[in-house]
Amino acid sequence: MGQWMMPGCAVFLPVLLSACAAAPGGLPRDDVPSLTGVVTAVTPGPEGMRVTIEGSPDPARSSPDSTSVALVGPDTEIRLVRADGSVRGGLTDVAVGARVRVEHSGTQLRSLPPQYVALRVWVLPGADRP
Amino acid sequence: MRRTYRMVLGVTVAVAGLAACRDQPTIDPDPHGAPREARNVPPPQAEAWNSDDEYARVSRAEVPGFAGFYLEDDGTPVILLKDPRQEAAAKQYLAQAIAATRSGRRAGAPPTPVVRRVTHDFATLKGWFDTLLPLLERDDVYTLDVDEVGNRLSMGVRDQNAIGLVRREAARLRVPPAALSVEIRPAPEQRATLQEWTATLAGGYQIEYPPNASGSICTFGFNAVYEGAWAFVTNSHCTYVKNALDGGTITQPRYYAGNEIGVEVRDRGNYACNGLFTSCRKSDAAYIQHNGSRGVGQGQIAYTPLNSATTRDLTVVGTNDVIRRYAGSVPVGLYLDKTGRTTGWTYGQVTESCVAIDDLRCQDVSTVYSEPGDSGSPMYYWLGSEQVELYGILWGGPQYDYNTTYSSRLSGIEQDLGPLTYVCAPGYGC
Repeated sequence: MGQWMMPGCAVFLPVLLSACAAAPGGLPRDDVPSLTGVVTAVTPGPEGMRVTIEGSPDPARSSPDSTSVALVGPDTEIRLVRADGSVRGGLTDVAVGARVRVEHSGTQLRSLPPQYVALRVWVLPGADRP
Repeated sequence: MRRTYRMVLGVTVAVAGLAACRDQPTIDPDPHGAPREARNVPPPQAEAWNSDDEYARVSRAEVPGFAGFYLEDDGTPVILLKDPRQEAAAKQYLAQAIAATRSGRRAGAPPTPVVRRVTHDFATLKGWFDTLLPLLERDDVYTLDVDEVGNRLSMGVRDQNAIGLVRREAARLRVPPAALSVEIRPAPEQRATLQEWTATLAGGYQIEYPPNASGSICTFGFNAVYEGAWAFVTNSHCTYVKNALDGGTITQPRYYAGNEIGVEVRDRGNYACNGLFTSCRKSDAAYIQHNGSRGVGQGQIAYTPLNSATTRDLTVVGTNDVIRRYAGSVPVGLYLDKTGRTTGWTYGQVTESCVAIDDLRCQDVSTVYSEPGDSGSPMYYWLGSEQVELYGILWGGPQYDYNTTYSSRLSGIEQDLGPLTYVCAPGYGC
């Protein structure tokens, strides 16, 4: 039996560890391009939804504006830190009044307001959420 | 003080008023169905007391014989007097006005005004001005001014025939010939901005697609024929659904009934644009078919004064003709220009050529200055003399870095969405 256990651990232990590493978790990262603000409108569409966010004015623009639009699609991760410590969220958590941090690739689509393809949306605590 | 042709002044006021309203988030309050002309013509205004009236009054009161003042090229104030003995009174009256001119570029101007003796005081000139004012009703008489520098009246007209007519009428009204200068001048024209309504759709003007609560403003790219019908090109993300054919309506300049200009007829999602097992596009572009409600500026791209990160003038001062498609390799260092509704005409140099950015392949990166709202801007290789080669369209840039712009090539647009014809101005065969 002992002879079989060692090879068994050698096989199954890495699998077990990798499964633990893949579980949802973590916090928003400061080194990832993002925008933060409060959701003021959510418009569903065939490809996902457009989320309008009011954040901080952009001083780099000639007319500093604080409105941006996040394009949330089927590939966008929604993360909501829940009381039990889990971070898995859904589209319904991105609602008007929610304070969010939208992580994106760094590319700004220059419509007015500007748009960002959302890679990940963190629904932050302490917001005026319904 | 120069007095312009009254209608131009009134229209200019209207245009300024429209410009002030252009970025409001609420739907434009203009009534549906109002005649186009009514939207740009202000209500009749009573003649207001102005600086000419004030100078005329002063020349009969505090400073008898006062005839105005102006600044020399070096900023020296010149006070005009029929009677030089009124110098002290004139300086006292003008003390604040002269002090106000010593700022900015004039901060180092010579401090002491000089006095120049003239023949006519301001009240006399103003009286002749009022006498000749009805001539502005003629469509060949453009401007009338009390020219204080020349101590006379100055009139701008269309042609020699108008000069003769004005001279005869002035003589009949007993305005001394020597007190009136009449010259041929170009007709004043109303100059709109890129953010206003235009009768002829050309590259650079503002468009808006179906808004959600946030509004969705972009720039008209360029005109072309797609599958036998007039269309224009803008960004895919400037339509209702990015990377999908949604059939949405585009308006100009703002999204309200009556401003519709076209419907999306060609767009697509990612495909194997770079070979098997790839999922990408070569442009952020969509085709919008014109609905026939406006004129189509074939091969036309509007332009403004040249802008930069710190200057902003969106007045349309001319139209470029696209005479060729840009056929070069887009090398690093190439100069490219654009006209966008937010930052107008700007230019820069290519810094990276044929770059993969997110799911787009072979895009170009340049130092062309752009800001939100400029998406869809036509980008071109400027030849001068109002001629350009069409390169493609602008679509984005790095967050917070507006000195860097991403753009799609015309070739990539057509590879994604299909061939276009008549992208050039008439007569250039492209």
